Amino acid sequence: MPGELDLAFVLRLVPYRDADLVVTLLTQHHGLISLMARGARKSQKRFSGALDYLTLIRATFKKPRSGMGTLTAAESARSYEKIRGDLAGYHLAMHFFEVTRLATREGDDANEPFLLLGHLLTLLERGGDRTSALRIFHLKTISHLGYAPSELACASCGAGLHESEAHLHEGGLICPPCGAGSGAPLSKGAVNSIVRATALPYENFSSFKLSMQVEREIGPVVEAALIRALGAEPRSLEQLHEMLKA
Amino acid sequence: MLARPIKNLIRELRKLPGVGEKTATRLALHILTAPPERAENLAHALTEVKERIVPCKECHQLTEDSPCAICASPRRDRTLLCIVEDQVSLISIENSGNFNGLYHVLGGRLSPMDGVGPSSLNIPDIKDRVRNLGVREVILATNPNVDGEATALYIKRLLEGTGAAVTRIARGVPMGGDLEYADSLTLGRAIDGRGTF
Ligand SMILES: [Zn+2]
Ligand SMILES: [Zn+2]
Repeated sequence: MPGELDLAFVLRLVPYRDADLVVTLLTQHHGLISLMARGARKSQKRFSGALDYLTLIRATFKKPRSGMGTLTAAESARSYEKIRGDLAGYHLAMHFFEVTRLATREGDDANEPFLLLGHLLTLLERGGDRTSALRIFHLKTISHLGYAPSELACASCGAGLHESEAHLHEGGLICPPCGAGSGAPLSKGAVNSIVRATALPYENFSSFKLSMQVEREIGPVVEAALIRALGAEPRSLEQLHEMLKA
Repeated sequence: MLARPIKNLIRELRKLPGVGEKTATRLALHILTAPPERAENLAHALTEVKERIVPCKECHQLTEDSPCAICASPRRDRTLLCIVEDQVSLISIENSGNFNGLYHVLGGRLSPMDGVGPSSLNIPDIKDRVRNLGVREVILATNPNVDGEATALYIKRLLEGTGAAVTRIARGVPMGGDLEYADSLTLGRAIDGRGTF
């Protein structure tokens, strides 16, 4: 069986037995896969030292029809050195990896999450705004999970939401009458930012900047929506808050 | 069908790192068929290690006496502090014979995906130790991978203003590798070749 070759981000490394690693990769064309990297903790010769977070790797692997496949070789296609040297950037990237893993299943087409990760890491590597990157990531992930916050219509009654205040619920944006009883609605500016970030094309990532005021308004709401969409709270979230504050 | 006590043993063994169902079953059956005193010795060793071994109140390494022999030794250079992730790294560096200062064992490294932040590690007391001992150099010997680098970076920030020089072990240790597998010679060279971080 010839090996498959694909570009991939390392989402998770778990030590296995004495010297092995179970590596969870988000590949460009093969989706999410978990592979055994034999001897990787002892010697990374076959993996040219590339088997770590914050490296885009060229992975060669064998994937049997059932059971866990094997990572046979890896080399670095790109290393995100600036993010590695920046604590807040590191925590942000690790949060991206954890959430992507929680949001993706093996067998899913993951080309979009793969491109999203790539563009966000490039943005951070170039010193882009961290909080904006975080919210773009959250909203695009929520959208990818099928809960698209769209400005077109209330996800509950279908009423138009153009230039309107709204609530962000698990199903998407909800008009104020439908969301009555769930606190104050988000301002028009906040709704606008949510809708823009959700639909933001990759090439506009670097020009998107959330104001502090909008971030204060949408941050907790977006995170609550993400946790509902994922069905679990990412473990990296608490540390991330600490680091972004510092 | 396995009897309940065997299942119990398998379940407990499976909680050990790197032990899966198959290995646990093999170990359990091995213990079961070995002479009774073997099992008794194992049980005794397990109980004893938990009763007698405590973390050193200074450096957090596991020891029978606290402070440990290294912290208590008058022959160690108290102005040199080497920060390691775990006991295994400490032993490797100690075996290299290239280091005669004191240690500080973190008990792991930053791992945001596991919810492990600075406060879950022996990080908060480093600054006081550096001040109280009058440390002139802190050597960061965390693993040379992304999480280990981030841990080193965090500690470096924490020590700003203490006046201690902060150095990082040399890259003789393969990137992405585990210090656990670096031989003593390599590790000794990495300590000698340390540089400003
Ligand atoms: Zn409505
Ligand atoms: Zn000690």
